[in-house]
Amino acid sequence: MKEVIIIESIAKNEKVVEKQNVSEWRKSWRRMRRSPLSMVGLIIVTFVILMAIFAPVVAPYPDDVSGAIHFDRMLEPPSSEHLLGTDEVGRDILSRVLYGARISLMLGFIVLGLSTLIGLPLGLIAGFWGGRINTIIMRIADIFLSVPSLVLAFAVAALFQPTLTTIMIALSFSWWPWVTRLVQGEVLSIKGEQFVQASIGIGASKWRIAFKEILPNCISPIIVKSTLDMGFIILMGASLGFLGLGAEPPTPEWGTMIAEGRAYLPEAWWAATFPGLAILFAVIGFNLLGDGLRDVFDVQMDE
Amino acid sequence: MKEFIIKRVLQMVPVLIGLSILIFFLTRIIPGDAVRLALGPQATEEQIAAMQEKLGLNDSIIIQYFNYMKGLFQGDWGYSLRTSRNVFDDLIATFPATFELTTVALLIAIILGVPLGVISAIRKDKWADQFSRIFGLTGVAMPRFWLGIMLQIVFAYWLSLFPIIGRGDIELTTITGMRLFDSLITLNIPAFIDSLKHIILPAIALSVGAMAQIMRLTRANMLEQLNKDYILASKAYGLPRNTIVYKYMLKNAFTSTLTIIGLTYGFLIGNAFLVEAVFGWPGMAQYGIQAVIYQDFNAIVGITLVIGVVFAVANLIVDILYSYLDPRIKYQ
Amino acid sequence: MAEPLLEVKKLKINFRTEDGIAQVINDINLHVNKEEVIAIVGESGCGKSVTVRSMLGLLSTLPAQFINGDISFEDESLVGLSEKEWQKIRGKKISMIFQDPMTSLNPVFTIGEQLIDVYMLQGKSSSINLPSKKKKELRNKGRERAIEILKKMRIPDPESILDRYPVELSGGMRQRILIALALIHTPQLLLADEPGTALDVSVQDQILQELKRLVAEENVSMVFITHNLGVARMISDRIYVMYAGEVVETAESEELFKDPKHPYTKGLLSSIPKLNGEMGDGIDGRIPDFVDPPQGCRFYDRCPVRMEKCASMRPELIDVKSNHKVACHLFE
Repeated sequence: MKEVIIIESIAKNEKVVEKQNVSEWRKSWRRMRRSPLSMVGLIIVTFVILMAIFAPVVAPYPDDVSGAIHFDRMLEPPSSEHLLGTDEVGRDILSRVLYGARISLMLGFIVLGLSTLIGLPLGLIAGFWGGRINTIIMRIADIFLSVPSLVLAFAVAALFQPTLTTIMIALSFSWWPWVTRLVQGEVLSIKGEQFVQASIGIGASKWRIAFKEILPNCISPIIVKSTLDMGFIILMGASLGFLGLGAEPPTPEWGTMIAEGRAYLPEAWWAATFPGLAILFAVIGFNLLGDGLRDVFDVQMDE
Repeated sequence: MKEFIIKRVLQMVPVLIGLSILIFFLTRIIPGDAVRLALGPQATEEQIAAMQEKLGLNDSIIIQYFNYMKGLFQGDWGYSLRTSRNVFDDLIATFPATFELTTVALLIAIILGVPLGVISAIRKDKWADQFSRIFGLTGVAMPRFWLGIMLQIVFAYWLSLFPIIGRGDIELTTITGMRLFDSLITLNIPAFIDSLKHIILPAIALSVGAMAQIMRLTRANMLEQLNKDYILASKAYGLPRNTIVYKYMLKNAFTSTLTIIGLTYGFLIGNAFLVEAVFGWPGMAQYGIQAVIYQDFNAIVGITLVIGVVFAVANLIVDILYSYLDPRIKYQ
Repeated sequence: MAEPLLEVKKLKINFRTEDGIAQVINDINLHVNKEEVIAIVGESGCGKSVTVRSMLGLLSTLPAQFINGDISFEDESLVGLSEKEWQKIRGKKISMIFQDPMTSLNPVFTIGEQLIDVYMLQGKSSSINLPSKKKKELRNKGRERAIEILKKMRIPDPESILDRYPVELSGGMRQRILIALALIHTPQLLLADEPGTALDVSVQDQILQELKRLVAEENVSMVFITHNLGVARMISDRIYVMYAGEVVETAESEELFKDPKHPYTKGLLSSIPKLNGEMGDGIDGRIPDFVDPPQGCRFYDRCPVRMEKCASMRPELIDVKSNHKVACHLFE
């Protein structure tokens, strides 16, 4: 008798979950629209992404992005020809900033992707199987987290040839444990839910439960966290660039540009200032968007 | 309480050992040839081979690791390819500067961040709140090194209020290596003021991010308290508003904020690397950056381990404080 | 008969919600006499909590809109009182026992601290400004009073309880502390919001028996909220049955049980699980939408004996016997 009731409740729960998904999206959108700050974040992020995609088209001096040198216009202040001025070898800063968006965004997405690729399955396994496997995985994550992320990324990047690829790997190195922790926590809290327990009771295969029931519920926290983290990763990438690790010149990476422009302070202030503003702008955008998403999804999770 | 501390310390140990293994093995897999780099282009093959032998690089990795760990506890942290000294000595020389900078930055962040968060929560949606929230938003997003540069431009170059780089110009007797502390103890007031002037800009640049984070969290926690049943109950008992806000709500909110302070300190340490670079602050970060250029692997391991230990100790202190403030911890 | 201690006349309260304005309390009348215990019974969402919170001015003004009617205590109106005036009343003249012992006590302060705070600070505008000697005296008095109250509640070893944190105590003990907090200043009126429902049934039973005894001993009046008619019968002299924001029946407790008139009351009675293990029948359906309430009787949709006029005409509360009123067209 009991089994019949359990099966019914699973079916009902699945139906309820499905129905929620349809109206959920519409409700989420409505709620997002109501918060002006999240909309600002969305606009900024869209703007940055578009900037990155269309850089070759929009940039006034696309050649300046690679190894061009113009001795005749070095370190010119912002003018009508060069809206943000030129740097120490005469390249247009505006164009380089636009291309810099490409690099930072690409860096962010790849690092997040890699971290999730590593961290998600590990977190899923740790949370779901529990026991010793859980302890081992979380301990390993703890080791990677025992040093501040920037320091670890710095150490890893420092030991290999400083290229863009290296810092992407280095940043993923220090970021995946956060994903694992998040996923493991989510899995643990969902594991206790009735319909999962019921599935286990019936004897559904563990893999099926893990993928069909637990995984979908982890997705929204991961999306929220990834958006919030994006800003942070862009900052870290720029920081490493500033320290001389990462993209080699003449790559127009924002952090590297600031480091290069630093030597010409305080007179030629524009070379170091504008890339920094670009970083600030992008990070604020992602943070606002992430906050908005979190408010939206949090409310849902309470429901 | 004592068992709690011992328990936590015991938990720390395997993690730190794991860290040492991780970082050690990483440094031994470097594709680059650090020795060749250090000895310069004129080095002969024999010289390079001799150096490699001296550094134990020809042994198996596992033996190298054990030798290193053995040496670690005896004060021998390996040979720095750059300074030709024991890494340990190098670290002793540079650690206090970084420690002083990060600690001052943390203090600024807490002393300014918490009250700002409380005020922001109390005057929700009024102009003080709006202002703090904008600050919170930009503070978290701002690249520390860029902020440092901006501060340098405005306050050091244009306004000439503060020195541009360095830790201090006036001589003082070194006891702990922390200038502010040492100058106070020896009552060397001119040195104290000079050190203060030198530390202000880098400390502010470093603390802004943490301050914004702490402010936002305190604000959120205070607002969360408003919805708590026990706060409604204290209102129902006729307690005065001041008591409810500054005693009943604040203690809970602060306790929640405390949990991230350990983590925040970690970010401060990480960002110290950037601020030290901008302000020419002679700390561990500078040492580390130089180590990168020279592929000085022993130095990199040393720095990483020191930071790991400091971070772990900071988290431990936070946990102890937290269990002191929040009695629920002991029962979990 | 003397004047009632608390009187609610034609109370109407609306709430502003996402979906519109919800008419949560729709024209209710009730009163409590001195040394009397009344119970308000109804299912979740019927408005009993809202009613009781309005008696202490605890509805936050933003979502709630007080529309009409009067609540008067000792012949003085409670409507439109300032926070300062409310503060003098809360905890002293009218006091509330909260429902959830797990969340209604501040977790980071000791029991003693919380009890003594209520003793010392109730009704004050801010923290006390007294010379420290006087403050200490006051504190000691508070401690004595706290122990006295705990003893009255037959709590063993009250001195050591004062130094405990809520997390160290069982749910039942915490609920008793909540009662103690309400009784410190011997209020004239107690508002009990389903105390003990979060606890085990046997524990709840114990606590309610103690509460009943205390109320009788201290000559306090009480408004007791519950969804359980059996509990209401046990603890109160008179019962008000509420449905969807309206009072549908009221009578003395025994009378209500012997001769329930309203179909909803009858339904409630049949839902109570019997001693022989049979589950109750329950009532099908859900409460109506408060934003768009039905024009006629709010129980129409679920009423097994509804008539045509019930859909369009709202029934008034009328006398069917002495001290027994019903709001139902069946009895007109």
